[in-house]
Amino acid sequence: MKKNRARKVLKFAVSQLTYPRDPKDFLQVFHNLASARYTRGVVSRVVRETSDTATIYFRAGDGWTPHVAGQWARIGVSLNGKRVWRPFSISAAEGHDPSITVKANGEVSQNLVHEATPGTLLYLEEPSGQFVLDETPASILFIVAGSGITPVMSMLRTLMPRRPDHDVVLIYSSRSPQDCIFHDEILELADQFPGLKPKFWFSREDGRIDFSETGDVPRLCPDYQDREMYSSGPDAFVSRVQELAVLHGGESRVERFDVTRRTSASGNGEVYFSRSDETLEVTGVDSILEAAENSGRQLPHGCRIGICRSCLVPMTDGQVSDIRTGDVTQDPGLVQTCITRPAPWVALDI
Amino acid sequence: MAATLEEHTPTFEIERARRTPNPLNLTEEQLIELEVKFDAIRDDITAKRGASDARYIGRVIKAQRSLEMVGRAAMLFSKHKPLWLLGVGCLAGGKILENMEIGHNVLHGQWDWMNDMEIHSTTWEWDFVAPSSGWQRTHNETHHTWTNVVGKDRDVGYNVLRMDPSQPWRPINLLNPVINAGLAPMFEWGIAIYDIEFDEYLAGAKSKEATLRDFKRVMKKFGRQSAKDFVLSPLLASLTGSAKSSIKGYVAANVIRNLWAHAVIFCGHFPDGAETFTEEDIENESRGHWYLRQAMGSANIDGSKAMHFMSGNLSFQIEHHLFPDLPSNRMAEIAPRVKAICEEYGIPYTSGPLPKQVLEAWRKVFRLALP
Repeated sequence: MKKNRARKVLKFAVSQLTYPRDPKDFLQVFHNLASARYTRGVVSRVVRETSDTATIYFRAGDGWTPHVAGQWARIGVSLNGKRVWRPFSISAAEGHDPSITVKANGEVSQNLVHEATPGTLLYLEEPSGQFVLDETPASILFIVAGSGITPVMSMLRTLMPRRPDHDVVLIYSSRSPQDCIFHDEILELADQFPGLKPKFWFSREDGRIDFSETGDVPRLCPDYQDREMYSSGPDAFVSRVQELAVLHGGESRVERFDVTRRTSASGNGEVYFSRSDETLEVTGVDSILEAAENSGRQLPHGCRIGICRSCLVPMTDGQVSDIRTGDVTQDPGLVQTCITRPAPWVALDI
Repeated sequence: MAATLEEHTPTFEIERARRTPNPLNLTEEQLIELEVKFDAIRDDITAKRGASDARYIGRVIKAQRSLEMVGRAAMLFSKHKPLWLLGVGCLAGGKILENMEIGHNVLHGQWDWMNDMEIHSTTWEWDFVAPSSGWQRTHNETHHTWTNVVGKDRDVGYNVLRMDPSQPWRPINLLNPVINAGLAPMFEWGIAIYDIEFDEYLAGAKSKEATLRDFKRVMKKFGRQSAKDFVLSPLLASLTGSAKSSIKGYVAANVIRNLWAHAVIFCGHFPDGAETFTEEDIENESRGHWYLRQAMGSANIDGSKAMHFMSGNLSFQIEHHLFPDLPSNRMAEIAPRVKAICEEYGIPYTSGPLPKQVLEAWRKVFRLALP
């Protein structure tokens, strides 16, 4: 308490001399984790996992709160001079230095996988997300696909050493052994903790997982109905897991890594930005956010798949449709630009 | 829509006859061509700006903060003459960089494309008595929109000077040179008072609440700025017996910055060749015509890279007025292209070395003191 107050007094005194700048603006000259407006991070280590995946370890500056296993954080990187933010699941165990495991499939993730080196500056927001472990789960079934393994890896790394008697089945689908992120580490974990039973599924050889009641899941995990289910991966994948869970009156906690979209039946639409008095055409495949970014505008955004609600913008007139469901909203209010498109015209107060 | 230039009268003609037809007489087609050509430069730079530009502004900011820290540290021991000189040099240089190459340009939104709130027009507060928000209104909105339109652009004389023959002469204008000489070393306070827009309040164009709010903002910032440089810093320096020399040092650094900023800014629109316009000139103004007015109303300063840098690239005033929100480090690159377009259409591209431009601006101050 006393130390805190002393720090505050000192900061106040110093800021009289640095006004109108924050003392941290000057500290930044020597110490690149210092920032008056952001929580910064510095990459400490990059580990290649597969040909297109890397784990990026970083040190975080003031403002970072330790993550809970399974959470994600919005991370900003500079892409050709421009700050761009995307959410990434944290793969490190709880209580350890944070790391994200990134598969190169968009411009931000490609930049991270191929360009990040020790010393690269990152911008961080606090970890968040509800895809976390229950306090006392009896037995667990994880069903993951591709890079959906990242939050689950954090859970396994946290859970197994803490409760070696845990009964955990992991059904993990990836294209091939070469594409299987953390393949060897999972085998080592299973070796060390017999409670973990991994079932690898390679879709190139085995085809798609059959999620029916008499399909692959009961074969790989006969008591799946009695387990806590967690599923992580592409929307189409986790939706199937959820359907299976619902069949038995249960449910699965899910973490979606993308959004399954419908193309607009009505084709192109238009967005009117009332503050700049400009109209933008939006094609039938883009969300408002994507169309705006393609035209060089900057709109607030977060997860880009309709989860985090950081992209909310006031709609004053017209209507939007949801790119996932096609549902049309027309009441004035806030709209999520990352998962909506004009139907066929909308006015946004931005 | 496009207005013609027939109504326009160049400054140097005004004393002779107010109704002289404009020598340019650009056709509507030519104005459209002008628009397309200038827009092409903007699009080119917008597409090109990227990591190297971001590195540039990052480096300038780092250098500026380093200069300021060295300056403030040296001032703590300023009873020693060499340290006093070092301190004044670093502080003056630091303030000039902060206000011009960084502050002015950040507040124009030249770096907003980086999406970095640490270097953003909506969050930046500069080391200058005039608060950012008020200055952005009078400068970005009023001056850059109504550039050199007498009666609209309040920067034509800043309400205290008669800087255009079309402004009616009043006896007070006899003091033109005295006022300007007084304004130069006090420039930051002059701008701060100007941004409150007392004249607009008196004319009934600005509400009492808004005026009072702006006045309070200025007083608050004035208090903190003065406390920093003239009270707290000298107080710390008194520990080494450098209080007096430190006050002198901070005054010197602020005055040097004010003199330099005043000189550069007066070279922007007041040297011979920079034209003024009437409100009729800009009726139904097209974008091509707007570009034309910006180019004709501004004047560049020729000089070294260092001079351009220390002037915040305001020495490329013409380019800056055509593209106020393009990054300043790109002005030198586009200048030859802008000049070529101006030559093609016979648009005067006013430019000259610093002493000549300063002299011409001052000559105007003296000449217009008389009716």
